[in-house]
Amino acid sequence: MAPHSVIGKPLPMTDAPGKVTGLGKYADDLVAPGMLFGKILHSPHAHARIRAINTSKAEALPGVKAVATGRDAPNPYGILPIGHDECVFALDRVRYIGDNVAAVAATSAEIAEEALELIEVDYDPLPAWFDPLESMKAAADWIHESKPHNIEKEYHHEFGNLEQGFANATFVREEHYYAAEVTHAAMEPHSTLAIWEPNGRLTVHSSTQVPYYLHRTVSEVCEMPMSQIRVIKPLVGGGFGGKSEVIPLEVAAAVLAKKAKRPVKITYTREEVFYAHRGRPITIVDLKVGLTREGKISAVAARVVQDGGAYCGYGPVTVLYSGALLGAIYDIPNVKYDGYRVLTNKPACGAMRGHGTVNVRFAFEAMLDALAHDARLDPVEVRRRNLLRAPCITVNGLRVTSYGLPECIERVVERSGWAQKKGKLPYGRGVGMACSHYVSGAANPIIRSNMPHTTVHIKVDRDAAVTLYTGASEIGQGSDTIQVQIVAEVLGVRPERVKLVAADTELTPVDLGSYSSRVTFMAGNACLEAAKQMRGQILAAVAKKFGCETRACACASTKRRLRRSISTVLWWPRAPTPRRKTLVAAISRAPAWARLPLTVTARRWLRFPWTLRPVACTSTASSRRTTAARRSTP
Amino acid sequence: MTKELIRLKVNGELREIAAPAEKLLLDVLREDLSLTGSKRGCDDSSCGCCAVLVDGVPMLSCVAIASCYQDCEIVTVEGIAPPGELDPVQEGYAVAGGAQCGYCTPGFLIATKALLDHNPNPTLEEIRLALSSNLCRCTGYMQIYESVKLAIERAQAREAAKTAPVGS
Repeated sequence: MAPHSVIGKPLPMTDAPGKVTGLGKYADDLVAPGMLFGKILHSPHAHARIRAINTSKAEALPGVKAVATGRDAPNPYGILPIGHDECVFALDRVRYIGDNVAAVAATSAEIAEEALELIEVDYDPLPAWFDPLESMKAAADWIHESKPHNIEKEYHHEFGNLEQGFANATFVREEHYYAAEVTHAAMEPHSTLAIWEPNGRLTVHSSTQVPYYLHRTVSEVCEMPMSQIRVIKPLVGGGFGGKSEVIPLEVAAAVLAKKAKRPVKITYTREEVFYAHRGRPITIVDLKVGLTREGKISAVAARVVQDGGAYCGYGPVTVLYSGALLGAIYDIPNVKYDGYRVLTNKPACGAMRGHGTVNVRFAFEAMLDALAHDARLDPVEVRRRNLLRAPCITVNGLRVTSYGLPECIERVVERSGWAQKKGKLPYGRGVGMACSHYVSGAANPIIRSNMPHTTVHIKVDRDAAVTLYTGASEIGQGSDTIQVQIVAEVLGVRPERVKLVAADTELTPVDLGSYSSRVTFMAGNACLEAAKQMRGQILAAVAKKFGCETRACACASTKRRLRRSISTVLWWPRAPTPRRKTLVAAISRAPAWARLPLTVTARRWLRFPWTLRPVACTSTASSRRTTAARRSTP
Repeated sequence: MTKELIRLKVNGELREIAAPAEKLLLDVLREDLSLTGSKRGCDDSSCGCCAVLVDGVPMLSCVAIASCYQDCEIVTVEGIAPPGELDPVQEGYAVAGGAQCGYCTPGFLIATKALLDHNPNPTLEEIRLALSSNLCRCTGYMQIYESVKLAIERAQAREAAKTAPVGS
């Protein structure tokens, strides 16, 4: 008997039909009766005080239904509790070219754009900071008054004995690395439709990875209780971190809808997507690493400066991860980290694939190759000599429960043809080795509390329809599908029988969002627990009905998967296929339990704080990947 | 703003709308005809999300003036198969994981459909060339090539089933 019937099988994604027919709805595809079109006025200055804003001419333009400025929504917000430094529209100061100044809702997008040109803003330009190293030296004109010298956050960590570590080293190198800024460029530009309901409620459909944080932020900015706000995530055309915090247009649409008392849709142009940004920051890494004669890393010291742009966003987390993950993938006994997140007058940076780790990883792996060269070691060999022995706790306290890197390296060496290619390819071509890793699960919630990180409900209805209510956000990574697979596997039903309702704050319980590779770990485990509870209830009802013990009953998707001792089979009623392959097993006919609608709930708290996920890949000099590391996570 | 009557043949149906003469085909499809399958992605005609078939040739509808295409057969992603049915191309993308976030998928489907209509058995190089105007940010290109190969297999299987002698 195979271990699983649904899990591990390549299935079409549950939302594939909508995506291949064009009938699936993304935020910009939605319309509402009486819908207005919103447009945002962006700052032309990198750093300036706003002396005055005059919106009267814009308001007088026929077709304009609402104009909003900072005074309409002065409550600051931000994804981190320590970083509430953004307002939806600038109150008295703009901090980057593209900063949000005002917005208009009108009966057409053209009228809204025309109205933007009629808004008069009196700016008083200030000196602007564009280089993070210069910005750190600023003595005045700080971007946020509460952040002296434009330093958003700094970390200084030392674990082990650095001096001793470098003393033990035979080979020591100090190098300087610079990594440029990159942005997510999801194919779908951000879009939000906010609908003001006649009963004074607000429904927000938005392209987001974090509907529940959006729920909370709209409540704070619009000064409405969360119970009066409903956030729905439609299909999302990729996020990559760019939709993992609240983006100005989401709040702007809500503010305009509340003011106009009508539905308002705002969709960013591609240019505005770059203003909204939240991408991977410029990272300047000064790295010093020591290697012993035996090829063991003995000490690591890193100074990292990140160019965070004009607002906090996820910044303190980004710069924390840059240092925290430095000490994890290899066995490093002594490590020192100095990290600076610096504000500049540029669009705010944030989380982007491999949040905070990628640039420092690049520097470290390049350094390791250079040291391997010094020590006359093969790049593969130097990595083999520095492996962790999981399970273990690293010097900086990361708990490694699973590792997989040794196997990963051996597979890559074998499948890339390393031995045949390294140093033997024609001029201009080559192979290289680099390892990377990430923490999955998101150990700590962004807003610290003892509440569960995710909750799911499973309902089995009278006709045995299984419905899974989950707050997890599908953004193309397949989270809907994996949850359906888990529930189907445990209940012994075909995945087609499991309906899924997801990411609607009115219907589904809280899930923190799609970031940090946390959904399968958190929501997946909640699904597993809920489905087991549901199976227990079903089998107990079956056992009671037929006067046998619960452990004599089982659920399975086909008869073949049952123990031979089970002689009678109970089919899920009205199975959808002629062959009735979907069934719950054991005993006889007359499914007593099916007459009782059942609901179970399972929640997931964090049990295993840090689980490492290794990735190794080789690449040729022509940048074609010879070994695909893993399927992309949108 | 002056509007004029524009007659378009979209997915086999004649549609009439009043719109400014310079209105883009993508906006007409999405706003006036509620065919939101075609997507707006890049604003600089580089992503291919908005592609539609015009007389069988894939075209970017975001840089096409709707009123210029009044005598053409326009097919959007909604029209590549009859309602309730899937074209082999759609099946291929759904089953082989060609659609991840799905936003680029309509454009890829249109480009694939055009390719297979003209060349039912392309090589991998021909597939790559035909899809080179479309971007997938989920970087699912390998799955997309697999999807096209599956689409070819499914189309051939359908063809074989159609031509098989009765009773065999």
